[in-house]
Amino acid sequence: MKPALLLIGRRILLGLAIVASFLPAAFAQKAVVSDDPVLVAMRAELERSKSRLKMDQVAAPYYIEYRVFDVDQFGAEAAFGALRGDVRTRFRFLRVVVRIGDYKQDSYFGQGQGTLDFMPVDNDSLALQHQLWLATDRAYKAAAEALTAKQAQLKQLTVDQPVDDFAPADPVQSIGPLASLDIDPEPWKKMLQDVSALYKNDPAVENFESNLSFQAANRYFVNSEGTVVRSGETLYTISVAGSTQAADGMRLARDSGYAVASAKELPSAADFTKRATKMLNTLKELRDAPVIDEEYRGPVLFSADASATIFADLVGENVLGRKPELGKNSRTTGTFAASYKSRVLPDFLSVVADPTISTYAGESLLGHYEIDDEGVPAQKVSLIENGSLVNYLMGRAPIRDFPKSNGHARAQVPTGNPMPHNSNLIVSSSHPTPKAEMKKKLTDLCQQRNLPFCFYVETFGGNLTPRLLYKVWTNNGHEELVRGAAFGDLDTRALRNDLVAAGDDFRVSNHPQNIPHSIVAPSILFDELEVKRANQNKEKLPEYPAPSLSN
Amino acid sequence: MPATRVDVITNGVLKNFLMSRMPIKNFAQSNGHGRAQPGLMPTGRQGNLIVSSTLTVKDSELRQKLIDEVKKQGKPYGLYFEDIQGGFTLTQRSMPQAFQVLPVLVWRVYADGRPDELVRGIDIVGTPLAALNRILVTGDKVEIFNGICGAESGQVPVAAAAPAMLFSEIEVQKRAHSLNRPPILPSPADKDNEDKNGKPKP
Repeated sequence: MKPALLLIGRRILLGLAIVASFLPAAFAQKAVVSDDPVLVAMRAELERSKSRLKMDQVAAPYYIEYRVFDVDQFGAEAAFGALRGDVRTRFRFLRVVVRIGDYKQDSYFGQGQGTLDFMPVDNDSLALQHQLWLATDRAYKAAAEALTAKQAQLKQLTVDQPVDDFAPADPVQSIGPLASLDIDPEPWKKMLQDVSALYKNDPAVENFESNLSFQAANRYFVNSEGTVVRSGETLYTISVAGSTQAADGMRLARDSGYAVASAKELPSAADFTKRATKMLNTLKELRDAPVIDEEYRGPVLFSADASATIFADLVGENVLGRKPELGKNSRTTGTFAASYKSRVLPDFLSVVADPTISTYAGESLLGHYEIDDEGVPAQKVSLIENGSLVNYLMGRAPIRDFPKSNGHARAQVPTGNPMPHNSNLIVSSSHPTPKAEMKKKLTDLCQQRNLPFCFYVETFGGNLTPRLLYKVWTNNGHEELVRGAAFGDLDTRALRNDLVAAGDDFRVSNHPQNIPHSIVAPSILFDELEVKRANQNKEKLPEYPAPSLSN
Repeated sequence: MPATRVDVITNGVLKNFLMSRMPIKNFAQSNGHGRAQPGLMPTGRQGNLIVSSTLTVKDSELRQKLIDEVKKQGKPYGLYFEDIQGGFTLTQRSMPQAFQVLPVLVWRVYADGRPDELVRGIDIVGTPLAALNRILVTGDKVEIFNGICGAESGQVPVAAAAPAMLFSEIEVQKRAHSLNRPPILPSPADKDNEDKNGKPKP
């Protein structure tokens, strides 16, 4: 049913005003602790709520937190040499969590996980405080309902080894400098247009676009335990993406980009053009490459770049100490839930997560922070020692055997709740093989097994599907690009049992998506993996060619 | 299609529809009213809807006309709708052809000369033909409403111009409303409720 709906104009306008409003970032300068109006408002309302928030027949809160994300963002995209849009946005989001109960069992469940609202972007303390007041009231009432719902649900379940709901943490006070977006967008818009115009060099390219996102995010956090944290960070990404179709219709897509923490690390126009040109060339090479034919079982070598993707997907996701849903008795939600003190990698590999460092061998890491989003100081955590899982990344929600946070609760800008998340995941080998010898090791293994060729993966596409995959001939080491392949059994079991060597090289792989984090990993060699033909649809080619460039 | 002026209703009789290029029975051509929000397919939509009347009294006399009608019907009071926040009509065959208008400022106008009384929590409901046939007389001053109208082809800006109207009868119903508790603490701006330390006054 679609009723014709008549709405008063001003209400619509109000909605638009919230989305479209932005102010220059000039506010973001040397504010002093005591008079940052956002913090003043947060502390004032927290005091009021702490001392006075209480409903009849409902317990007073035992814990209250306020989180404000202040985001200034510039985004632009260009396609086929022309700008497709650019937008500057500025907004503040508020999340209030009120917990009723105690550390053992509380209301953090369902709607008791916080309420969300816009915050005024100017610095009128009373306006800010008013919004906090309303959100706190809603959060408290929601918490009361959530605790009852949780207790009702728990009555239906048997919990073998109960763990607490919330871990105590020492109060922290830290007021960091505010981040601001201080950048002239014009040269960047031109760069996007110029790079996206490179499609003209290859008439068979279908989509070709370039986009950027520059963001300054300031975080404000206060809680009723006395923690007050302010921190700011910037994140700059610029990328290019293209797609084409091979003669048989197979769709081939690639993207490439930069994700850095400071504007000065962004590429020059020449560097960006160079990278885009290289990507465009690989699209052409892929188009001309043969499709993988027979199923293959044998050694596969992964570059450090491809290896970083494997560790991100198969280790990074599984070392998170995320509490399973109510009534589930597993330790975490990942596949390493039952692997504590067990071997998950070969014994020459170790993995740490280290948010306390901002660079690795001179390259910047995106997973750096001083204090996590629950107000717990960042800690270096040794996760896997000589192949054995010894720890998980923890926030303040305990899991079995891990009662305390290790400073890895991170919230997604601008509305997320903190959850255990990666920071900088660093994979190292106790017996690194010189990079130059890795390919030799690969062909030696092939020779031992009388295989005419083996495989080398330079980079992945999505879902652990190889993007740049080379057939390496055993007799002369010749490399030949192939397409249309997938792995049959690239999983945590293969990582534990079939990984036989790691290089002395490394690649810093920065992931700006969702929650910025980094993976540092060496090239790795598996003695056996299955490489098979991907089950991929082949679309028809366009009926007629692209418009002529000569007009 | 170029925009054209369309006489939709003449002397109370429906003569035409607002048409896009999607024909309906007996109306094969567009009259330039195919409109859409960006990204959606256009359908026949309102542009500037202008209501005019041949039976008018001065706006200042309308209130007396209302009281006269109330007395005639032997009722204690009539209603004056000063402002509405919007409304909607069900236009699909499978649903009853009904409308609802959501007033924000409604006054009881008493027949016995008591002062007008502001009331809240009522909506106007009904079916268009039954309701619109009960217009007795209109005012002489046209007021303009500019707003956004939503329908199958999305949100489009529209205007409506109409005089005040006196209905002999209109159906209203109690509006559903939440029973949520008001906020527990007073507003931070409400300093009357606090002493200078921010503590509640006894």
